[in-house]
Amino acid sequence: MRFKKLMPWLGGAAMAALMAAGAPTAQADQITLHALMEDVPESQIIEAMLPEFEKETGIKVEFQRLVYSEMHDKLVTQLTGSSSFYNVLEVDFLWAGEFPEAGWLADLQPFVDKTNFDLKPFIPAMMDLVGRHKGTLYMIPMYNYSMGLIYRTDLLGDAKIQAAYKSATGKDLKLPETLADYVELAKFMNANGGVTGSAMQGQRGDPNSMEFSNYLFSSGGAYLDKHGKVALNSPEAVKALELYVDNIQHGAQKGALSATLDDTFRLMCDGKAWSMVTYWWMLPQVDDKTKCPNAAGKVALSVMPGGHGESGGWGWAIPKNETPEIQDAAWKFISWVQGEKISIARALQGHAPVRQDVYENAEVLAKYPYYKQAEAVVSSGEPFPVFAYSAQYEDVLGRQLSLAASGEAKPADAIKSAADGLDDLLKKSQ
Amino acid sequence: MATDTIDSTRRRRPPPDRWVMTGWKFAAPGLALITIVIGLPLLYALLLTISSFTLLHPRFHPFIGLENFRRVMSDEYFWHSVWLTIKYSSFTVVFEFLLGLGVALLLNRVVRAKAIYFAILTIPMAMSPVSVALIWHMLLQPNLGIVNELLQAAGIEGVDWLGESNLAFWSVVFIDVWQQVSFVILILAAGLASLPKDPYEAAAVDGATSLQQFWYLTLPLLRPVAAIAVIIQLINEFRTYDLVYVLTKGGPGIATELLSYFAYKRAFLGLAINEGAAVSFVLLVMVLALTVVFFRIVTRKA
Amino acid sequence: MKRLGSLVPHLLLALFSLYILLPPLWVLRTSFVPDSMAYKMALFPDVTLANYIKLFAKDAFALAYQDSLIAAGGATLLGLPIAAMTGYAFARYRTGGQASRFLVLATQMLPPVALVLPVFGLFRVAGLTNSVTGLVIAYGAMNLPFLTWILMGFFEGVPIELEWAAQVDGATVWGAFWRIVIPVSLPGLAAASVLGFILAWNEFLFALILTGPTTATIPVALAGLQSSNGVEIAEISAGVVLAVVPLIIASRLIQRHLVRGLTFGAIK
Repeated sequence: MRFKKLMPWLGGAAMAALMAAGAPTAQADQITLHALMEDVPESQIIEAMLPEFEKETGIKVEFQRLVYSEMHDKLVTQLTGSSSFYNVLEVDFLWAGEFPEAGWLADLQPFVDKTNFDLKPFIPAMMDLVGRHKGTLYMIPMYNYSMGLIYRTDLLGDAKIQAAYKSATGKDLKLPETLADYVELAKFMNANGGVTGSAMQGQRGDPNSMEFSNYLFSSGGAYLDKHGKVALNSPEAVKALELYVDNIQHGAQKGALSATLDDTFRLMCDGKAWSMVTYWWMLPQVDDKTKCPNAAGKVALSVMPGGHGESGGWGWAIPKNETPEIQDAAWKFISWVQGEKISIARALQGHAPVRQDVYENAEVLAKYPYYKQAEAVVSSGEPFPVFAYSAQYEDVLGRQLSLAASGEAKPADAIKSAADGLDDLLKKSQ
Repeated sequence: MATDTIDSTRRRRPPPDRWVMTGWKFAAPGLALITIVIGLPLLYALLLTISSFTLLHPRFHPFIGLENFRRVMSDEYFWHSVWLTIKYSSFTVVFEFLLGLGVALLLNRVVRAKAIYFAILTIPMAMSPVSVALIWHMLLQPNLGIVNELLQAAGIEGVDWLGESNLAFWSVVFIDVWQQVSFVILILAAGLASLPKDPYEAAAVDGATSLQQFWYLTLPLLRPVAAIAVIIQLINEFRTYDLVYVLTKGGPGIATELLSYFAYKRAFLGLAINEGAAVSFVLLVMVLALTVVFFRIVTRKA
Repeated sequence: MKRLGSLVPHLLLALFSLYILLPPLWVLRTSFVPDSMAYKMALFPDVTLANYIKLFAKDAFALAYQDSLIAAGGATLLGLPIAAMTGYAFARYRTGGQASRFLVLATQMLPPVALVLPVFGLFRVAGLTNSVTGLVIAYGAMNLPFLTWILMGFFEGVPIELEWAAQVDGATVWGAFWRIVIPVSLPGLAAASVLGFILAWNEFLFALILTGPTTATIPVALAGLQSSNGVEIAEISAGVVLAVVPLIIASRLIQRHLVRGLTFGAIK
């Protein structure tokens, strides 16, 4: 009898207590900007500077850190609603086609004009990637992660290896200049150098699509021609894939087919790999004495052998469905953080610049001499196709690459399927 | 043993309306909560399957009938995923049940240290699927992981657990079973603990052996609980997604592209929420059919 | 001979326990090791509490912990009595017939992916996004089908004579349910509550979508540690250890009830 009376009260009390505990915090009068950020050093560098911005402008900025893949899903869910919780957006280049086409981003040109923001210092390759889409300025570049080659200089300078290489191939041991030479050297290192030749990220999806793009561009191949039509199905592309498959099967580490960035980084960091085709900002990570004692001081960066690597980067954007007040606040933040002063301050802490003037700043170069190569990497980069379905195409392409790498598909067939897949998706987005 | 219900065993029947009403009164809060929180979104999702709703075009109009289903079913990779998911769920559930029953029986036998065993068992269950995947990724890392390092120390060459097509599938099965078997054990052990003692005493008096007691008493008596454990696990395994997402992303090639992951990709990568919903409902129909069939088979013999 | 009989089960169970325990033990070990040494084979190349400290200092883990406890605990407190009532209706009264049983279960068969956007929309309308309360309600409802089915199975195993006896003594159906059926079904309730709590504790997708920075649960917080910079596996290990501990404690408490349930089951 007592139970019957008691239960509803217990339930009600429990609910009330939970509601009190779980209620969202009250609204403050000042404007607070919320940004969903990828959890990488770049975000951490900026996060440390946020109090300075608040002091200058009175606007509070809060970062929420998340891993890349989940960022997309969470952002998309928020943006499809009537108003998004995140009112300053960090947008990856792979979404730089999707977000504008879905109508989620505000046109930034009016803001630029209103505040006389100087766009000239921004590197053209970056503006094309994470700035303008189909002629409209939707984003301001934030940082780049273009890809190049990180390699061990000490192994190239090792007398024994040099001698072995000379007797095996008749050539001098030096940094390769073409893709074919690179693969040959990686295979050699794998067999005779006591290390993995090339630490490769073969996992299907973003890892292998990104890595393969370097091979493609360096072989003279391309995804799209100047008119935006699919140009993937070419002899150069097939050659690139053949070299890629050869490297992953004979020049890469065991388990390369399921390896991700983290796996390759750890190999390089442990001193167990000679090289890796990767994001150039990995260099300071590997060259760190406390984290990677086995590799620090012995690594260097170069443009992808063959001359062209994959461009990559993030940009800032503002959601369209926000009040003008919030949008202005968001723009204040964006123009502040990408302005010259803050960009240089960020660069001195390891930020990967998107502005020419930062790369040429004396103080920055003094601290990071390899930024010279970095600038070359960024300016020579070519983009993965940026359109509404870029992310899906990574998966489609990744599937074909993975099938070819495991020997289940012939390179020519895989390239053809990948090209057809790109064509289908392009048509869909028209 | 037929399940006891009010009508089947009661000698004096009350007016039919009264006990039907009582039943509904009991079930009302639960059904209401489910209907609102899950039922409404489910209807929404059902609408999605016949609409043109994509992330780029977030509107239902125009309704396109079964076009989404047609599109999805004409994709050869869809059928591969269907077949792979059936294969995957069958193996995981069978392994979990056999291993789980064995361990539950053992637990039922021992008297001491039960608390310790139960505490140990909850550990894999207590880890979120994402954590489990990350941990096993660390353990199975081909060059640096502890499993291969131990093998190499024993003189065996390291294995590419997640990089070889066939092996990757079984590695994921293994990891899933490792995590899920505890749940099956928990349910079956609770079931065994609830079995009445009388039939056993009577059987012992009649001279039945342990094996006979097991076959003719334990299994039939355990049937309701065991059936439910299997059904719940079947449903869980069909929905496997986190493990694939973290460990293999469907690869190598398409060796681990399970249907739930396929649906996710259609919805969030392909931005086609409508197609993702269509795939999800195909999954639902498959699981529902299997569950109903399984349930019928198991309860009929009783 | 009897000694051997009790030794064999223990031996087998010990073997099985090792199979279950070795990975978590390695995780425990990794949590106390600096991240750069996580992959070394040596057992303890360098012992440090840095991972745990970092979790709380830098990554607001304490908040995630609290949110998880409220979400999972609340959902279980909310869901268990309701699931018991619904399971009882299904078991004894065949409420809604076979159809409703399977319909209820069918709501679980849809991959969460399909429900994420609609649920988000619904909760936004109700003002429940970015709150832990929203999670409590979501998890409570989502766990209902499984918990109902589990408890239904246990209730079907309870002989109806017990309820008749209570009613002959003057108890109502409601009273008989709470005073007789529930106590006898303690093992089932224990199992169901542990399961419900764990499902809510580990759920990821809806937590990701429905929560914000201050209301994130442990799985979301842990996922944030997988940065593109590298998977901070040592810190994740620490997070996993911390996430698992309350569940073990909870199951310990529940298990005591399980033991009590054993003696109840013998009474007829």
